[in-house]
Amino acid sequence: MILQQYANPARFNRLADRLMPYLAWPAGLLMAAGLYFGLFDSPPDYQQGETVRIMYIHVPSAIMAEGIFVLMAVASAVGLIWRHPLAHLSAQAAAPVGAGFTFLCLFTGSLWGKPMWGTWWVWDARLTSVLILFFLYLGYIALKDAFDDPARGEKAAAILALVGSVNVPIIKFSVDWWNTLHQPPSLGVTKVAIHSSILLPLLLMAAAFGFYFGAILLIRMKALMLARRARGMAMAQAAGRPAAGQEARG
Amino acid sequence: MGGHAAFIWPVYGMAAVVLGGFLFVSLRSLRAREREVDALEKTSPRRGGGNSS
Repeated sequence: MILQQYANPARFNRLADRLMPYLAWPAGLLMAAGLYFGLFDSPPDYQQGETVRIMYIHVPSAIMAEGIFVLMAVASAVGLIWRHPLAHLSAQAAAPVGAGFTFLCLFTGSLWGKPMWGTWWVWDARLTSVLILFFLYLGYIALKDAFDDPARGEKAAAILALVGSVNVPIIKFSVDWWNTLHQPPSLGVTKVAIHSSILLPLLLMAAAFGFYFGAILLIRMKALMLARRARGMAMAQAAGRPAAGQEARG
Repeated sequence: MGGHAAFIWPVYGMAAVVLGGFLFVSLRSLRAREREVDALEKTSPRRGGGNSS
């Protein structure tokens, strides 16, 4: 399996260092372009007026919030089934960032809801299911550290990620299954109900958020790998023997 | 901003705080772990106990 070769920390570090410029630079450039078009070069919406500019942060945050949880569920499945050492690590590195995007989605939605719906919050299906997603992220983060044995913690958290992933399609289809204040999706595989002048900054920001997440994920995975290594070395030192994998640093 | 600046700018401000915050915290954590491993490597006996054969 080709992924197995990147279980070696030195190899993973080399790959991460090679990938980093291809993630960080596009993230910065796309974000700058998205902000320019979103704030200065796109017209107000004919119905929502200037508040449409909230969408350029809100929708990409929502995409990331759901996408990162799916990624965590897939990584958790890989970790549980094939025991790939980087699988649980990638899910753990992604979880706080996913929680951050979910918070951003809820916060921006609230600020969009007040002028559009006349309320900061309503317990409708879409908003409530996203709030549950936020709690699932927090639960995952808390659960992985809740055991003395880290392996048990990561296994329990992985199961939560797998079970919790059922919430993602509920979020997606909540606006179709229930009567909600939230509007149905304007972007789909077969339909685009947004004018190109508004679509452009939205896509730029969504792409920027995606590249940003990729870069942050690699940084956080490297830090977690080093933390594991430091823990192993400290335990080895305490036991009075050379640390395993000491030569593996890239 | 059509009278909606009080709703729009906090959105961009919070996005900057969250995205910038994660970047800052993640980089700081990486540097701290690198320093920790370097310090442990300096005090840890090498594998093979210096036997070059």
